[in-house]
Amino acid sequence: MTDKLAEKITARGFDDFKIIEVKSNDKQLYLLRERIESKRTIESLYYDVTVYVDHKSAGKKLRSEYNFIYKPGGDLNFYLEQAKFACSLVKNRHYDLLRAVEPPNVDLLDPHLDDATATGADLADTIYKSARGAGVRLSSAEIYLKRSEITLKTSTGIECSKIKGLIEIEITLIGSEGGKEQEMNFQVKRRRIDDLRLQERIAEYVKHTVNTLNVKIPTSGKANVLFNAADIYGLMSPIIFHSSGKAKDQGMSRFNPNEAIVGQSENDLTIKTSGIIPFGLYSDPFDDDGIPGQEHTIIDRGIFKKHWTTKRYADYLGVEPTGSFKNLVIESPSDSSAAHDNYYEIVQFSDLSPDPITGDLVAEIRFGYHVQNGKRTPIKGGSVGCNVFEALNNTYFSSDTTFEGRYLGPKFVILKDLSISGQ
Amino acid sequence: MDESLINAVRTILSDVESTVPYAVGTFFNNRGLNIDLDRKDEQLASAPSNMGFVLSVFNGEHFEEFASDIINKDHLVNFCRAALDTVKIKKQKHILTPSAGGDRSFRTAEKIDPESVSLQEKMDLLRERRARILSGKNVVNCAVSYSEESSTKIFITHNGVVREEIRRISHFLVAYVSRGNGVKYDYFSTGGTGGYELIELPEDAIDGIISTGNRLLESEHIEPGFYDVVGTPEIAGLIAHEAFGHGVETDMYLQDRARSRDYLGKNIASELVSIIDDPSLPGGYGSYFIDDEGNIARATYIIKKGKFIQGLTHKYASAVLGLPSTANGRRESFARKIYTRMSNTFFKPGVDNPDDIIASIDRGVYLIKGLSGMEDPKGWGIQVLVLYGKEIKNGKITEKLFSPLGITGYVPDLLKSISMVGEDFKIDVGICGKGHKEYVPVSSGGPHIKTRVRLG
Repeated sequence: MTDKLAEKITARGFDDFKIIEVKSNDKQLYLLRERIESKRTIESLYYDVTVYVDHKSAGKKLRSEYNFIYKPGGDLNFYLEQAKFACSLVKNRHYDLLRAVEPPNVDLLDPHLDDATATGADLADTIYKSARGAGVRLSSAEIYLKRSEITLKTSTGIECSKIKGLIEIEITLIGSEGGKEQEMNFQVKRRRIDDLRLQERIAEYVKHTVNTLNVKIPTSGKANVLFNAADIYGLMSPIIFHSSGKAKDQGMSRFNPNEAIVGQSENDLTIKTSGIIPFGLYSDPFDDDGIPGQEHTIIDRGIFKKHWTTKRYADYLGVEPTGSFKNLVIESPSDSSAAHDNYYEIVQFSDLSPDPITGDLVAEIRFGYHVQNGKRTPIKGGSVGCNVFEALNNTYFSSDTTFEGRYLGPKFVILKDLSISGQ
Repeated sequence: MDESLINAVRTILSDVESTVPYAVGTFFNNRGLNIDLDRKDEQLASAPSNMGFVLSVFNGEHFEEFASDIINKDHLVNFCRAALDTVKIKKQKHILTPSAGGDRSFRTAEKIDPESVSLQEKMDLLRERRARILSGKNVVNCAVSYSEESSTKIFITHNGVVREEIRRISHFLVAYVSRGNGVKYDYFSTGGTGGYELIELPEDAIDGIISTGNRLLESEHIEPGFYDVVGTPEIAGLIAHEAFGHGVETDMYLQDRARSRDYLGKNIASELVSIIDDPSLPGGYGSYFIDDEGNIARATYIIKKGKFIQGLTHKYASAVLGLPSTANGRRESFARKIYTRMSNTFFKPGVDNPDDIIASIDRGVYLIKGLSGMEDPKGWGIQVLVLYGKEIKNGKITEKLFSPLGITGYVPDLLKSISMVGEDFKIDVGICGKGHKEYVPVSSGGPHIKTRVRLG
């Protein structure tokens, strides 16, 4: 089908094209307490098509593009007509498609996904057995298993394929004591069953669930706040946005090469983007542009090195493309051994979404602990507020490292003197 | 959609009518256009295709669904027959009945068919708006986006076919401003179900976002604590949606995840409060004619004069819990399951003039524009992120802006603290997830409200 699409696109006179064929099979299993509520089987085949038309104006080369999703049975002629007309109305700066590439081998498929039905049943069994404890019961769970085969073909000669697997699990536990009930809900997404650490993770959350029944609201004021590895990618989203080539091109980036990212020169944060971590959620042998999976240092010991760029923005900025931002890698800075004995450890925020543009963060504390002199007091409610760029002036990273799907680096970071809105 | 395909599915459903407790088929399709302009570039794309088919079967104990986006008659007939062969019928624990009977069709009313307006005309209008934003003081970039989409759904049972075509428009403008040390922004959004007429802007919309963006460069962080606040209809809507919308989605009752279940029929809010979910609201971004289980859309009073009247249901929750059925079974796409979901959720207007509400506050905050929210139906907590608010002092709005702001608190406290409800009414355009996934179009809104919340 890809070749037929390519022929039809070429016959319509487009100057370039990119076709991404995505073929996938999903199994979904929904558990309600300890029985099945629903089972789903999904098959899907679609083509993500981008066509390009070149223009010339005052001797300058310009380019327009149009994107559509074609599914067998859909009206291809309608899309191509629409694309042709749309491309006649738009004239952006020119950029080239990448030419032939040699993608690296990156493991992205757990062989367990070859028999998703059996794997789903095994995972459900693990959940049934693990999601219980004194005063704790399983409320519900959702299991998503996906296997995708993806092929990229471009008019510039790229033709490459990859197979990816994905396992997503969401679990809700209910804790009860003396007529009082609370819940803990958590999600985990990985490419490999072993990386789920399912039994261990459920056991941790069973303990948290018990502790949700006796929580205090944190005290208003300034406090040190510990963010766990699972939240560090989200916490760093303003850094990722401002280090993009698109932000630079559009005058939105606050970073310039070889300048410190924050005011204090002793901050020695090192940030990399890596597309080659085996089974990384954002690992990719090649991205939608065909750029091979690579690792790039974006920030080196507090000094900004380069913007990450898709092919389009690399051409606009006149730099080599790195590909889109993949897995976040943080290298432990040297001052990570500092001891802390009074901080809030946040197990779960209601929604940790710092504003990527301003860096402002306000997030409700869904559950955590106030750690003081070695004593852990469960907390819930109130919120944490800061500006991520300012907060990075005063951080401590753990020296232990961990892999959290899309993040490889210190197990936690403590940001100092954040604003707490509580009692 | 090929009629022979619809008939083939209907025949398959008729064949199993006497042996399978519940079997329905649903086709989804759409077409549309997305336009995105920024300072330097222009992007045009077709609306992402949601074309697909779902065969839903209830085997007496649980649902089994088989979904495909390979819409080819021979393939789909074989797919359905093979799927039905795998279903093992169990003794019926719950009775589920297909909703639709007979053949009916519905379509969104519109004044101007978006497809009757040329792409050139749309581009010209959006470029003109982009130019106006970019000419503003300290503006470093902008986003101007427009989306039009026509979504069709064909719900098939053994004894009927119900079709709906929903037309949705959304239009979004952002002004990014900077004086060289950080970027701030303000936005304006509009849209709903309807036609191209929804792209109209209030006269001051563009000047407003530029002016506020600049003022946000001088904004302050608020001292954390409890404040008397006035919420605009947008903020009121976010509170209704997060505080008592998600908390009464009764699939959460099945999972013991919603505390509101213990309060059915009881007073839960100030007597001034009535909250409604209405998928049949004309023009609402979350409006539809039938839900994804074929139920005809109609309004549900969730809270009436402070009393919790009724939760929202999808078919399974309604059958298992023995609750009245409402038309709130929705799925993100053919690839996702049906959950109980909100549609257009809003506070019913009261009697107070919004100016009088502001004048009633000695020291507080006028919460103006929302960013996002998150529910916590079991803990009955709430998180609403607000882009900015203005200080109220001695009954008057001052020049001082706070940004950003986070509302957190305990839902019953917040709802019982509502002491004034405006006579005005407005709903906005939104996308809602269940937890962190399952995104569907919704709206929320209402009048201005006065309450007391924790701000951080």
